[in-house]
Amino acid sequence: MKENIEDYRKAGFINLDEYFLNNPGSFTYPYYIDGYDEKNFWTQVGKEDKEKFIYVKPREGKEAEDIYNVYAELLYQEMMKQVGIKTANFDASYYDGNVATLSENVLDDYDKNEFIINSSELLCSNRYSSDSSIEDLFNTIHDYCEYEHIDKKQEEKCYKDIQKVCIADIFLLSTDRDINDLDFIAGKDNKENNVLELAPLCHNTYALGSNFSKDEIIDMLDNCDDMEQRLDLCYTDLGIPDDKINDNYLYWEDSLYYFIDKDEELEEFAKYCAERMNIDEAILKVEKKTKSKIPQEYKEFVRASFDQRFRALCDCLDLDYYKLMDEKYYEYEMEEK
Amino acid sequence: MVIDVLWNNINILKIQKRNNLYISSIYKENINKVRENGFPLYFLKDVSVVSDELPDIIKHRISNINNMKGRLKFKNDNIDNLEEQIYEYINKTECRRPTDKFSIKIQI
Repeated sequence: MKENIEDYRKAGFINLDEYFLNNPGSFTYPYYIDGYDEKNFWTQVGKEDKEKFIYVKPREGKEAEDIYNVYAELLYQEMMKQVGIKTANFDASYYDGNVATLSENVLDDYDKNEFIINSSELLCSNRYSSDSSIEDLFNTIHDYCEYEHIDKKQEEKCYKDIQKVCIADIFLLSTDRDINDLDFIAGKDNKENNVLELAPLCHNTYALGSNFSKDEIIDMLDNCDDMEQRLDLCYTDLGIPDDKINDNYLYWEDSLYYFIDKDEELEEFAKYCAERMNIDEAILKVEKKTKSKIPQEYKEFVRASFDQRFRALCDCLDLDYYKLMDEKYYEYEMEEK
Repeated sequence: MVIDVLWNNINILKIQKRNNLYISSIYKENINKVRENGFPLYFLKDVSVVSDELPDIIKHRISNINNMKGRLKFKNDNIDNLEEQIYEYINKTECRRPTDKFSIKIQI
């Protein structure tokens, strides 16, 4: 009997149904990470001595769109890795007859005194509502750090990390994040200091325009103007302050300027994203990891959607699109060789 | 009805329901022990001694109770009886997660 979940991979997807059928003792009661999400759960896999938790995010079907969403999650994590942002280590799977993503627990060692807290849990402790803004989150983090005697440097790093994720989200057309679904690692570190830091990201299902249906995607591939208009409307609603919203700009442009205008480090990070993010490299890595081919129409679409946003961002950041593309692909080809 | 909130199986908070009010008390003697295990006091900062609502930390954990109903396979399938379902949910799962050390227990 196969005990390693990797052995249950078929056509790119790990079949958890088959795994649980053959390893019934390893399945435990589902635990929920997010108070607002009814489907996602944690379960245990592996033998007793090597038992570990995995986080499963089932989709509602196995249609093309569901498969795109799984690949979106995987592509997103590869591209975040390119700019040094930690994400959960997602993989493609089947659960309950539908497609799903799974990830190992992002906490290295559960026995340590660290734990994960969701931003909605932090915000609700500070009496903020479910439509809180990014500044509400910063205020809450500030209160938490004061209360738990967390040093100022760590607090500042926390703000910076959140803003970096938001900037990278703009590059990746992520529409899936709101201020309530960021996770933080809190508790005590090995040196008994209280900590609060951004946890590896888990919620990225609708990145790279993957919120559209298969028909819409095929139509858009035939109609560039339509694609441009629709993709321009892909943004994450972070609740940036009203006085930072300029009607002449798109919401994601306002968000970008809100982050980079007064902060050189964040502006540098945005430029770093432009230099480092490479969709073709991410596609290859995902295909290698899942030992499968991403559907051709989806591959073309994510390339086009990333490229469109990338061009627009180069304008915003005063970067030379063609020069960057040349450099990026020269480096990529050298690495491949 | 008494609800106990625990961290790493150590009692932190006791909530008693009397009529329609929740009376909360902190296990002061255990605070140092749970602090050593990473528990943030921040969670207790706004817990009212007497309130007509459960503390936020508990409410947040059971906020999607209706959505969970299908998966949990409650014995009592009456969706109107929310309070009973909450008790059953807490009894069955203790609201545990593999990402922290909280648990919630109910004594009726």
